[in-house]
Amino acid sequence: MSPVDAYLRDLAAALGDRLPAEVRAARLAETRSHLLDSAVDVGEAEAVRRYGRARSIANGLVRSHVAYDTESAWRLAFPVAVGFLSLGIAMMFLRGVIPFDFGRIAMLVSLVAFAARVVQTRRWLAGPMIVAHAIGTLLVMGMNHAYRDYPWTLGEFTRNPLYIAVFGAFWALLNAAALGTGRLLDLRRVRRAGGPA
Amino acid sequence: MAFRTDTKALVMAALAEGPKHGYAVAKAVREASGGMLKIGEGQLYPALYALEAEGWATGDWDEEVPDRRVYRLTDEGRAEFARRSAKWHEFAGAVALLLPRAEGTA
Repeated sequence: MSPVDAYLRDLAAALGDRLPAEVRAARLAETRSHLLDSAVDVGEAEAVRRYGRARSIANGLVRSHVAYDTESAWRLAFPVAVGFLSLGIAMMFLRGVIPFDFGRIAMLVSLVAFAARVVQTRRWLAGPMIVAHAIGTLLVMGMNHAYRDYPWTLGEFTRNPLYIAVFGAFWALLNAAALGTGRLLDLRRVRRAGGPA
Repeated sequence: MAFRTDTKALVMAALAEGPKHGYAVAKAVREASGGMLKIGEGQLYPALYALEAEGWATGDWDEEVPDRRVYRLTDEGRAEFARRSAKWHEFAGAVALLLPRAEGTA
């Protein structure tokens, strides 16, 4: 296997599924063309060496794509927040019709779908988001502890549709904050690499 | 504003001469600056994609050479380049005025 082919294999592996298939194929094709042009001047091995580590090149390609081609964090989080609030309100008025477990499952599915979207587009953000969620959990636990003497906390309160709605919306906004921070960092990195001034 | 740290301006300067593919852009910048300015590939392509996203350049696949994408400045890109270029000349002119005075006191 030639150095260029080996490099392209490494780059493809480093990209994984972090870019849409069409974009990924285009980036790999363009890289191949660049390396072959460069190899004419300096040889394949040197062309590959100059191009840089496959992993960091892949991260740069993903970041530059993510910074421009994905929805903003708020656009992702807003429907989730609205969904939770609607669900909570619907459950308040249709207590007998919508079972509590349905609300809990819907919340779980929404959160998993949201997390999957984050992992798909900004894998490196998983760490900061886990930290943000841990802080959020502590805040909620603290609130529950602080109001432990009120009869509507814990047991009854956590079964309250309004609690689910507010808690879900809070969680969605927390996600948005983490994702928004990540987007700002994305943009800073892209700017440093010659992106928007 | 320093062109040395403004990769987009360097890329636009290379494209202002005419349409080029990525490798040709990097080569043009290096050769035109006597080897002083080099754009790493890790910066070059994000900069090209950023220019496309801003509408300052377009990229099309070369019909004769497979896998090669050729970039060209749009009218908006030329206007943006002229703006950045004017800012740079303004900055360089100010430094050129300052340096002889500062050197005289050193």
